[in-house]
Amino acid sequence: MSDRNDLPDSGGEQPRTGPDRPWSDRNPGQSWPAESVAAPESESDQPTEPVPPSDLPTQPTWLHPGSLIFDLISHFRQLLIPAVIALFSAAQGSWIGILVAALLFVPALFFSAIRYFTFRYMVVDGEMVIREGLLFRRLRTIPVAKIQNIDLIQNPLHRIMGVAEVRVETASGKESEATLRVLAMRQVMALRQEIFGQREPGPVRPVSDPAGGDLQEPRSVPAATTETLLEVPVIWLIKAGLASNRGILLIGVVAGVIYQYDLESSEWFKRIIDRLPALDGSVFNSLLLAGGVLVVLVIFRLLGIVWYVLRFSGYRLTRHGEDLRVSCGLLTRVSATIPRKRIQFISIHRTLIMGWMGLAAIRIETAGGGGGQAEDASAMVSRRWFVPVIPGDRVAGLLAELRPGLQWDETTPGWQPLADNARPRMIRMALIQSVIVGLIGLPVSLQWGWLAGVMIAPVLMWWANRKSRAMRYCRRQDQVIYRSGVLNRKTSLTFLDKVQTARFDQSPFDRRWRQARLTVDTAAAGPAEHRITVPYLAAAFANQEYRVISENSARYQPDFG
Amino acid sequence: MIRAEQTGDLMFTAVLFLGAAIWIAFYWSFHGIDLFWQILVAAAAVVVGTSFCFSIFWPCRTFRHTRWGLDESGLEIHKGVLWRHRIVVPMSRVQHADVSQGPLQRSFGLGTLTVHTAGTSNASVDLAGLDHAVALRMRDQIVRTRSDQHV
Repeated sequence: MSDRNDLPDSGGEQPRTGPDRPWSDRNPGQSWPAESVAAPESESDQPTEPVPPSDLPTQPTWLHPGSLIFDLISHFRQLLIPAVIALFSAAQGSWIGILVAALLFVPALFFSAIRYFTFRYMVVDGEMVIREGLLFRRLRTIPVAKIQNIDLIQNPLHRIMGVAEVRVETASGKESEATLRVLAMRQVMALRQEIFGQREPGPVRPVSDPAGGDLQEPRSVPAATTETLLEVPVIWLIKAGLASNRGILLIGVVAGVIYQYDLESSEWFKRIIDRLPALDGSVFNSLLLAGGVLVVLVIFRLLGIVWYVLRFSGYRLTRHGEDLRVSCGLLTRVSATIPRKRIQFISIHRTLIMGWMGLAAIRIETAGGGGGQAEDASAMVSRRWFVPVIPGDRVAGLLAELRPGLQWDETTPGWQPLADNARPRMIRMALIQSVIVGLIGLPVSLQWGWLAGVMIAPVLMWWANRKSRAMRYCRRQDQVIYRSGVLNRKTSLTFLDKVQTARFDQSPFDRRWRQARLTVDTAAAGPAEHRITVPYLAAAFANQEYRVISENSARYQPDFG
Repeated sequence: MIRAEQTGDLMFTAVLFLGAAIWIAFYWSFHGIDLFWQILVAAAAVVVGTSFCFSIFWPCRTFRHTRWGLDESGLEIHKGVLWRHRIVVPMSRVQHADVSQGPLQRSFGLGTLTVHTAGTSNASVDLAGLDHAVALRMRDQIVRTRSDQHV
């Protein structure tokens, strides 16, 4: 049961009251991202009259006219620098500049216009139909029941214009099934209504009426309550930013800029470089160097904090019937809907520093969508950064909401250690690695080359010891759980009804140690960056688990919708 | 199945032999018979000889270590001589199944059954060296069980 059948024009209409509601919140039951990260001007140019039935995508609908602009922008993002240079020289009256600018802009404008004027979408007969193209016509039909998520992205410009980029995700592939760039917020509302409204059980709506004549009927389904599961205050984000190494990424960006603009040949840069080797070992210079390193480290951390705050400010996770909704972002606002039953894999990550601060992060995987490398905003938030930061003691409560009946307690008995001889084997492997390093060192220097091997041996052995203690496996009720990682502790769980295949592998070395590797494969693209692949289990135990998992998972029907 | 694998491996050996022969012939025509030429011939003889022995005996080993079972609940495959793998694909997880045949397999009347799941690392599972008719029957059985379970 859900409120989604409550259409925007069916009496729930509320004139928007003020500048503090950047999202079109026309429907009291539909109270998702209503909290404000206010851009006051975002409302100024929005009409306040009710949604006319023609906005409902039951007949071919155009994109918002703003699409032209945003399509152009997305074109030019790819060739930003040549475009800027060309524009610059064109402004100076250079003929070549004007020519290049024309070559760049006119075709792009032309194609954007074609795209805009040929693009239509509609939702009819339980299918979303998208038609585009002039010469090469493309007609896509996406069954509404297969639509996993509808994600929204709004950068500040989007918000000023009251539009959003919409991504329709299905279980297939790594890319979004369709990107609607851009829709007005009321179109988005109507689209969500149309797609999610008819998927719910309950009174069946005659969606196929092309004239939209049924739209005036009152909806009898009461609104499901929207339950706020988690709100992340800024202080948590600051802590998480402190703990993260995100700042280093930004340093990479800076280095790229320096390289791109040839800054290293500028006078200013040279002067800094010239100062650097003036380190003659005097106390003052050493202090200066230490201070400089400290400042750089502090900047790293500050950048990490900035990244977290920009991305996740105003983070809010709500449950709305069977759907989870995430919305966050300071400048670019992202919101995503994830049907709860589509969650295939849950992973709890805890880096060393986050562990000290009693924090954790939760990542989830749904079938398809958002591949490991696809770090674009919507995929990141809805899966990779599902919950960017949460206090450790609230993890159990949140997981219970992600899957009904899931009781999570990391400390309960039931953790299976690795095989008894796993630790000796890993330590022996560390020793062998040290010997190899030592042997490689010998040709370098016959006298001292072996020293490197001797020096790393204790470190590697300590590491192997810690690693063997961190790795644990557990099967409890219908959950399969695997924990690993010394510094970055990752605990992942999946469920027997989500298991795709079970695998039991033995290398010749495994056979010698009577061990085996157990792998449980799920339908997810990997944004959690952790897999359930348990090495060094006792062979007999691994075989037994492999049997149990494969037999029990065979009984369940998979459900990706 | 053994004979197909052996034929394939023998063909590989033959290609190896031809390559080595051409290389040695080139070397000989430019440099004549010297010490390096003798080493080359000896090395090539060892490599081709080992490859020949392996192509006779290795397929027997792989054959002995490959097993499969199919019932209503799923398909299980065991394979691997040194690195041993067992994998279970529950029937309810099969997305689709198909049978393919390479030219060599066709001449021996063999086929490869491929079962696709929605998984990530094991998204498709191959079973090579089946009798073609058996592979087709297995595919039909898998598809039938799938549709029975779904209705």
